[in-house]
Amino acid sequence: MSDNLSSLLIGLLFGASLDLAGFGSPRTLNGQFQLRDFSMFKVMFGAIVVAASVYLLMLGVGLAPVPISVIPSLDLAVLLGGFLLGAGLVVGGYCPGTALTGAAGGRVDAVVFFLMMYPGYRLWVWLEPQWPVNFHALWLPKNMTLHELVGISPIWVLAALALACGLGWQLGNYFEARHKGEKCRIVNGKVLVD
Amino acid sequence: MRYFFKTGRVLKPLFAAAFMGTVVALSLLWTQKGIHVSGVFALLCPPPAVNVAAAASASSCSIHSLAANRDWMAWMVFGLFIGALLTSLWKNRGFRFAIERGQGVSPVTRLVLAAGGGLLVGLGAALAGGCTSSIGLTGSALFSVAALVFLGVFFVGGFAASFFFGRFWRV
Repeated sequence: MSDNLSSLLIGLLFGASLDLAGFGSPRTLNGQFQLRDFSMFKVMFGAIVVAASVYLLMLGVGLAPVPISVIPSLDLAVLLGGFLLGAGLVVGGYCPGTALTGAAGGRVDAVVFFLMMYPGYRLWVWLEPQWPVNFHALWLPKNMTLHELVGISPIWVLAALALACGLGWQLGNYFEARHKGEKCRIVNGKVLVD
Repeated sequence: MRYFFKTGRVLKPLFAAAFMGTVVALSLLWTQKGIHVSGVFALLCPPPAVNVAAAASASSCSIHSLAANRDWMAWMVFGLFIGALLTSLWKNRGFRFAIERGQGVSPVTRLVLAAGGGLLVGLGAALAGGCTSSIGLTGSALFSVAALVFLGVFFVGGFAASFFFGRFWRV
């Protein structure tokens, strides 16, 4: 099967998972930063633990690992970009994937958000060559993973992440209980204003 | 089927996480590329005059990795939209246009903020060479140090902005 077709299918499934997680709603996403709805933390962190488990298991039975270039490398650009993405999610309500999900649900704000990402992207493409600081100076060896850095088996990293996920999940339940009633309900039509 | 859903049309977090995690694992094992969304903007940009890809951490979503054939990213983004559209239609909420916003926020304010946030996120995605899907989800599932740090600062950025913009998200 061609890469395009398999990417289309993975996109279909990913879009469905974002929508069914409720991530098309900027109020659900921002509930995280108001500490009233921990869906974002739970689903994202949980998905990372599940994906890593399945991936490691499948490597164990002999499937091929991803090319090393898929693993991001640490530099100032990743740090600043991550900060801007987090801040932009609160200001604008979405991140790139969730904006598309929101737009698929008919949200005009998501369409505006998604279209405005392009000028933002171009702004950096335009700025980068004239910027005095090189944001891409690597802080760690290229494509470094946590288990390589610490020098342990990936299984231990998985265990640590699963533990952190579980603890965060419980903390989330505690905060959600404190904000009970404020939770953004997604019942037919009710979630959308106007 | 009802068991998997909490109120309305949203999956319980545990099942949503299991579904999303399986899709991420599939993207790693099948196409071996992971999930990329913001990369679609890199396709629209001209290749850089000076290729710093050799020195930089150029991920698939970065302008610096334009050399390779990356049409598949457009297909993935198209698929994402259709997938989300299908489930939102399936869970019996007919398609209708709306501006989702916090309590007491006017539609115009919301759209202006959405535009500003979009600019920030576009800038951030270009800088980082990826977004929440590619670096946050895919990278973290591979235990990349950069991805885990990215998620940390992502939350720091969110809480910092909430200090000023949180009032727009009251329900």
